[in-house]
Amino acid sequence: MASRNKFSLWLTLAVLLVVAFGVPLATDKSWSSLIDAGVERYLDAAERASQIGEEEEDDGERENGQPMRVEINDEVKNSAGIELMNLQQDIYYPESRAYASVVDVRDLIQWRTRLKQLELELELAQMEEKAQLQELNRLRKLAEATGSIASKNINYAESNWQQARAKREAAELTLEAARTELIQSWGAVIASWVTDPDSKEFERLVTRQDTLIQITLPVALSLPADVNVIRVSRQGQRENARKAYFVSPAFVANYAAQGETYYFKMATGKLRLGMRLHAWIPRNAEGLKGFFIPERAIVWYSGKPWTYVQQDEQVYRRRPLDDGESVTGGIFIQSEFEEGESLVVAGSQMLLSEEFRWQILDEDDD
Amino acid sequence: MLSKLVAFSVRFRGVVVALASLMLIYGAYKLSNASLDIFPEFAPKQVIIQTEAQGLTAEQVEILVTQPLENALRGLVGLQSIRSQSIPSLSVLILTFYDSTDIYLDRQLVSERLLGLQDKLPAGVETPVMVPLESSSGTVMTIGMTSERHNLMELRSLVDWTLGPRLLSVEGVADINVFGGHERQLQIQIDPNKLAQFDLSVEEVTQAARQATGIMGAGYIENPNQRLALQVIGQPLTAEQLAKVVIRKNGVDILHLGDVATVKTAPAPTIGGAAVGTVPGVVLMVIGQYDAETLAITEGVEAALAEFKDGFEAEGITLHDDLFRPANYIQSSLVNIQEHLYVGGGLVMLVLVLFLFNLRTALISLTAIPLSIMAALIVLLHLGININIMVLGGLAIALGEVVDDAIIDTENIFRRLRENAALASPRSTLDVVYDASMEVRSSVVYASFIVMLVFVPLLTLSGVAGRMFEPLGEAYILAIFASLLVALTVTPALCHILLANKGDISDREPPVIQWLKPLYGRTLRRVSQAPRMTIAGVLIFCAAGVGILPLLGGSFLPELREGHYIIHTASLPGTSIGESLRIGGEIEKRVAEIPGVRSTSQWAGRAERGADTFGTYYSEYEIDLEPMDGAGQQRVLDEIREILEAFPGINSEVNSFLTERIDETISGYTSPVVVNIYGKDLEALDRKAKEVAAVMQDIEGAADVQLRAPPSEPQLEIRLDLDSLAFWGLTPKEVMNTLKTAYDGVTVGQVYEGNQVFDVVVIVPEELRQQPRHVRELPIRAADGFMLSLQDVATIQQVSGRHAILHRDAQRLQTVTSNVSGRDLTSFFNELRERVHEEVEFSADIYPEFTGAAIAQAESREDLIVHSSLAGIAVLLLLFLALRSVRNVTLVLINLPFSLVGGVIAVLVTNGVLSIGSMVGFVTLFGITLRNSIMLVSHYQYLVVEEGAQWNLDTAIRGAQERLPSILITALVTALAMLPIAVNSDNPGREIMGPMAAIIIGGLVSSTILNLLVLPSVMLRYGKFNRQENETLTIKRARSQHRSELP
Repeated sequence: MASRNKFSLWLTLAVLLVVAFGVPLATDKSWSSLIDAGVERYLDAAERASQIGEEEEDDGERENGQPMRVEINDEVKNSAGIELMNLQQDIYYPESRAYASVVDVRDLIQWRTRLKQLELELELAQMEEKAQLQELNRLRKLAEATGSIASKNINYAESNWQQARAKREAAELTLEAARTELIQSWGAVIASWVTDPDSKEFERLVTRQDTLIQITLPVALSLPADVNVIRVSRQGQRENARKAYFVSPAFVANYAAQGETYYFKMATGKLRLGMRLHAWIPRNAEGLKGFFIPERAIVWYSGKPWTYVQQDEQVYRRRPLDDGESVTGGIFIQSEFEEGESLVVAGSQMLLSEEFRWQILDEDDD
Repeated sequence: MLSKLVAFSVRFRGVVVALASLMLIYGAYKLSNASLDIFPEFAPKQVIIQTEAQGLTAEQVEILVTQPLENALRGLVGLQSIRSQSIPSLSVLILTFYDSTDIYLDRQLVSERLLGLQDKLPAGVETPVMVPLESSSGTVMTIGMTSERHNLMELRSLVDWTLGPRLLSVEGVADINVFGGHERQLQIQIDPNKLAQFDLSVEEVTQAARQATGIMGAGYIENPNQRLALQVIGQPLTAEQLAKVVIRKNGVDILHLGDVATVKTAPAPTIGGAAVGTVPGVVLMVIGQYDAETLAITEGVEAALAEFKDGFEAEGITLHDDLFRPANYIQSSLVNIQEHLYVGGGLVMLVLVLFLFNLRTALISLTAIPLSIMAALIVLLHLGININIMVLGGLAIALGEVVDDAIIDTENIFRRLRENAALASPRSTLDVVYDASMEVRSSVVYASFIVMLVFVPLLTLSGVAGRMFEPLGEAYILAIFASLLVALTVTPALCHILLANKGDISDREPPVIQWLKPLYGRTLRRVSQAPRMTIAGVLIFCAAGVGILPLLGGSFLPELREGHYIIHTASLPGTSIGESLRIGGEIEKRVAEIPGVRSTSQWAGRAERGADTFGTYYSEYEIDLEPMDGAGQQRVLDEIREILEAFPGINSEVNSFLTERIDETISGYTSPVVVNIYGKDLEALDRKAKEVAAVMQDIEGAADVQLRAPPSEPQLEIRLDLDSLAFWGLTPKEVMNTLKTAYDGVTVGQVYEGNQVFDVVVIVPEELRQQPRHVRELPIRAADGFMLSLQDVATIQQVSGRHAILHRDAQRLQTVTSNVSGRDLTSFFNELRERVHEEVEFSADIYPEFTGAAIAQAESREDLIVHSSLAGIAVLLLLFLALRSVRNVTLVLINLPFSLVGGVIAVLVTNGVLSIGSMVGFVTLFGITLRNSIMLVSHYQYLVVEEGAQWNLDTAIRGAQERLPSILITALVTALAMLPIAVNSDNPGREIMGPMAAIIIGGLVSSTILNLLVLPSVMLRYGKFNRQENETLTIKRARSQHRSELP
């Protein structure tokens, strides 16, 4: 009995020794690393299981199957310097940028002079015609009444009258052609200022109280029908821009750009001829309601601009801004956001890094 | 020959002592002039070539810069490999040469090939430069500058033109890497709106500016009498003057540069930023030259900085000259090692006095320490090896051993003199000293050679480990060799001089030995009576020790306590310098709150010619600590790690500086399985890598399969629409020129201010270089005068581009790595190879390479096994020569597992981690253990063969008792000499030696106990001593012959 006990004791010892030495030799790993690996696997599995649970609960938007969210606790938020801003609804007038140039109004003055001359010439022709007609009528009456007038004289008078009439018609035609040319060059509105001797607008232009400018829109853009007021600046700064009022479409294209052209007038005499200006054209007469996302809150990823919004105390969600409008200082967006939401204005790139931490270069990767 | 040497030393003892004293004096002189460093040059022989190609993307850099350079440099003599990295605006080539080559010659070969290459590179790419040859540990000092009164541009100018050149003139300084600050330029910041307004193109402005600036000579005039040099002055040198330059004249209308651009001094686009303690500033890294001495350079730099201090103070500039000072570590290490030498030396003296009970013998033994160590140092210094921590480590572990030979010799001489004194008619001292020396000569010589031989494989280690530990091995071997010479020359000479007076020698044994001997005899007798039980017990004990071995963890080096930490953080590529500095500021703030942190600083991005070539998303921090012990430093390290782990959006790593440098040297992936896929087409490489990763994932045992794609970075892609360009009459080059000028700037000339020269650059203002919309709206003027926006002629969208393109041996590569768990590596590799070839189709120009840390380790392990086997065979031959019996040699080897057990227990008790240092510890231990066994067994042989004793229990006990003092003294001396480092190993200078010392002490305890108690029993049972051996007779003849030569 005792010897059997002894044998089993030795056998157990032998098995233990075989296991103790055999496993590390066979696996090329030490016991400690095997235990470590086991614990690691268990912890990983536990973490994955907990993440699966979380993902199932998460009904938010996904990108390539990944939730666009980052979880950061409050303490870390403060130490990491994340700053938030309350989103307030804003009204935005979407605008397009265009080039403008100061128009030389000397041409209009010349037009007015020319038209005046033509009108006078017409008047002269009319008077001449009238005189010739009267002469013809007088001779005819005399011939009928007295018969003392030679038909040769009547014919001569008639010929003069016909000439005068032709002259009058020529003057009319010239005037009409000039008016048409004026309209063709400057449009009906400006032409009407030129032709109207009492035109206040013309008066203001000539006396440099107003300045006429020509706007050239970008190639693919048209002026919305209801836009009458635009903003124009000499320095290219929107904030310093002044109002300009619609006058008419222009029929002459700008040499330096090929978009649609329009005339606007500005109530200033400080602009000099040939000056090139910047203009902002509203695309809608009415403002759009939405949210202004400042540039420092924006990060670019995957071809789109994004921003982070705090969803709850620990969760930050990434929202796309590609539906928004790029405006000075940021992006204006109508959808995706609600008033009162907390927008991340400092630390967006850090949150993006956290969300895509797996893409960050490992120290090992050299 | 050896007997002649001993005879000469005893006879001309005065000369020997004089020569020894002379050597000590010469050694002290050499030592006072010796250079001091932290580590030996552990980096491989590398030449790094950096080429700045401002504004080019990674792909452009790869094709236009890296590729021509690689083609030109391939095939250099001694070139082992070329690796390259093409990142935006920078090409980096790392040429690794074989260790056997001369680095200066390598550099010359490279520079010859680089000559004339500039013409082959596109315009705008700067000249390729070789990064200055720097020491492996690199940084000698980190300095910071901040100021409330001066802006970053002024600080940077001060560094570039005043402080930097002065520091570069300090002997041993290779380079200064400047991070942060703003490089000053005279910028002509064009306003795109004004260009449109005045109907001007960017090119017209650039041309006007180019005509107005630039410094050039005008030659001279010469007449029969004189030569007069022409000097042109009055060029526009200031912003105001430059603004007056005419661009266009149209009748009376004159357009000046100032009308379309703001001309002002402004910062150049940056590649990095820096902050000191969260305050933006300039950080300078002083880089030491290859083989230069850290301590001397540090002192030189500090002296240079002292010249500036007063001026800086007056100007309101704060100089932070203590952000990082590696010399602190050297100094504290030296203090610690000195302490160790004093305490260890004191303990050695105490043991010697206690066991020998004679101050003179103790002093004779002790003289071996300075003599051996000084001799080793003289040889090392003459070999051109600087004194560093590894050399000191080798000497420190040799400290306890160099005295051993002398002790054995002295103890034996003393014992024989004592015995002689007790004789009725004593022999002459000369005879006794010579005989006693010769008695132990062979065992001392063989034992010392064995101790040296076991170290030889260490010298043949490859890679960083080899380069690091080679000086340690050399120092150790030299010290042991020197100690052998001392034992054969100075020790007998001193013994004769100091112990010749018979009146001083008591015929009684020292009290400790008197007390120990009978006690030991009784114990040994008791143990010898139960040999089976003893042997079984020892076997179980040894098996347990060996069994623990696989449980121990492993690391290359232990934690070094440099009092300084370096943090790395990396965010997503594309993160701006501003954001990196903001994140850094938050981290610095929190780290600075940790008690014990003295200063913090950060740099983001990179510096020109800097060793690190990361983008703006990358930061490094210097955290300097107040003086504190290892435990305190570990606490700070733990707290830093805690902060970093909780910080969002970064990957981080904290290391001590030297660990960091060593990590950087060990480049490449450390995964056991690595598949490199080489090819030409990047997209195809990506696809194949994905396929290989999928196959790998499917193989049993694969864990953590990773596609090591270099990270992508966000780019703004400007795709030119050729139809639109044609419609508007524009050429692609015109658009590209405008873009380059607007966002990268075009240097049009230089202006000078005093001795400082600044670039004149045409660029758009910084506020218009920030948003994608600025690029979209950039005005482009066609040749006919049409004004367009960039978006009219190009599609602009944000895309993900490659951040880096890697090459190995001039070929593009993509890498897949994996760990293996639950199966052996060989079968995994075989299956992987087979399945990849079966399941992934490779075209003619794409092929895979199967490699990995496992293969590399296996190769170096193979080397180590071959060298160790050779050394092992040599050791066995020496053992045989010493013991003349294969049987006894086998029995002596039993001591190896004895020592292993103690060593393993020591590892377990200390930190449970095996490092290369631990391996060195075990190797040393085996040598010492074999020495002790040889001493005992050879004495048995002496007793049986020389004195004719019967080989029985009594002889075994007598022999052991007689050898007890020398075995115990040498073991105790070695152990106690190591004790100060082992006990307090977690402190500067002791981190690498500490674990070695602990292992040696642990192993010595177990091996000495077992050697003294078990080996006699084993020898009694299995050992055999033949009295009739011819060799013995030969030895006897030789002895008598040499004795006759004595005076």
